[in-house]
Amino acid sequence: MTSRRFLAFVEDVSATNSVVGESNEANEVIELYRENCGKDPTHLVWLDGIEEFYFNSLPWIGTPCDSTSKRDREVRRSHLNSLDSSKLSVFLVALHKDDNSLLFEELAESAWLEVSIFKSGVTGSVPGLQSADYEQQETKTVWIVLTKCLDRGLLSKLKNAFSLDHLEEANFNLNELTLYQFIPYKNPRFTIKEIELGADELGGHYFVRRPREV
Amino acid sequence: MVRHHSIVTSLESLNQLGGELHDHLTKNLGDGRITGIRLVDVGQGDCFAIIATRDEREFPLIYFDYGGLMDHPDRKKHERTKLRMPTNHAFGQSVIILSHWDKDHYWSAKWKNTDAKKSLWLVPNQWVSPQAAKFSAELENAFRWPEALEEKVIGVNLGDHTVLIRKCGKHKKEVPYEDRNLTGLAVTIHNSQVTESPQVVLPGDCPLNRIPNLPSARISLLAAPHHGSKKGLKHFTIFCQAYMDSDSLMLISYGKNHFGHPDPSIKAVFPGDKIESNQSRESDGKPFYTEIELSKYLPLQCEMRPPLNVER
Repeated sequence: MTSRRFLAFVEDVSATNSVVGESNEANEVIELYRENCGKDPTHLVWLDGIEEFYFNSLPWIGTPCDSTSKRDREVRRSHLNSLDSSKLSVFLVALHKDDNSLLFEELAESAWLEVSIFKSGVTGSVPGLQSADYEQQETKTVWIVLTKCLDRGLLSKLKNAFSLDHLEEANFNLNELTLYQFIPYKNPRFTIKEIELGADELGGHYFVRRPREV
Repeated sequence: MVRHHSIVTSLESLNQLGGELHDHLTKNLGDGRITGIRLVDVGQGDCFAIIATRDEREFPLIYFDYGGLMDHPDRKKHERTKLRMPTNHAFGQSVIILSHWDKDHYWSAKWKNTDAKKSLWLVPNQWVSPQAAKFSAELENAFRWPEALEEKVIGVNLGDHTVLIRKCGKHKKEVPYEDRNLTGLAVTIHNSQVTESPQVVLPGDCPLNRIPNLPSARISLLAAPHHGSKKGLKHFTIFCQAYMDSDSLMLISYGKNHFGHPDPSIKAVFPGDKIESNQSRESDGKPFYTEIELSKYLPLQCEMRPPLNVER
């Protein structure tokens, strides 16, 4: 079965509380998953991709952009603006965390994945919605196989091409330092001596520094 | 291990903004003043306008974020975004400060109001997707937060008020993954003599305990971090207890979503009942935004100690 292959940036991974009807986009893909997989998904994933063959054909993806060079910035900007929009796609995918538990661990935001798109279900695929961009003017149902992007050279090119190196650093022309001292707010319902912010997610403890007297 | 930043009683080396951004803002403001905060309905996303009044005319001096796509009320009426979220005004163009590169914070500028692409944008350097990279290349006048000022604060005096812009966590090029909620920009607004002023906090999606050098001042107006997400509830609870009271106001920006935003626990721990959201849609005749009069939350009448100038 033929497929189209994309390289996709993980834009968002979120647990879904499966509130059908709360979000049109979510509702559609959740229903799709239920119909085809017979259970509720645990997560929704937004992937932002570019066709792999097209990306690899671009001659500039390995060329660094020196953000301090106006010429480099202009060249990179031109390259990004000339990307063929028909080769870019956004995917909204519903998943259950047990579907592919090894890959699930890799689904960190801003990670890159290899994505194979099929017109019908194949082994290891999950249903999703494909659209040209986040506006989702037109969506089509596809079957998606996700794999981790392992090639270091390819990852390096992806991070080089899709960076903000074409934007100049702001020159704030900072030339004056000013000292501000705050009168610590004394909430009558809460004594601010040393605030324990409590255990964090990993079990460590952090403390807010005691406000200095002014 | 999770880091959190200290709450501070002083900003000992606050850099005062100069350069193009400063000149742009002060030229547009002229002899006017900041008078309001506008919570714009962009569905599931954020868009807060810092409203100024000059010559009896109100205009959006700064946008902090520019909205997204999910449940956007102008989904089929793009032309309406230009009316509700104008970036061209009588005195020039609004500045847009982007908290971070999640699509629900910038995408409304892609198709809905393309005028916004001509504005001056200040953005954090983060890992971005193909769509975001292409969008950023379409911006005519965008600047990245300087690498040398990671986790630093800059201030700009705008009439009666001071706006502080912070870069939260560091963007590390050597680390392949990034939680962009934590490495973006956050804004606080104070009276021009910051010392005894309460503060307005616009954190984007960054938890309050991860914002560098947040003053130990009362928070009179807060945009709920991350659309009212329950993540970091324990920290949020303590901030509510320590720095907010029943007169504080919380704004929550969200639309229909599958994330469970806003979580009921966020409203439950907030002191008092002054909570407003962007979900007050009644008809097409409504303006689709909630405007907050800033003088109620940053009153000018209290006597304040002048800031101390120090030599570099």
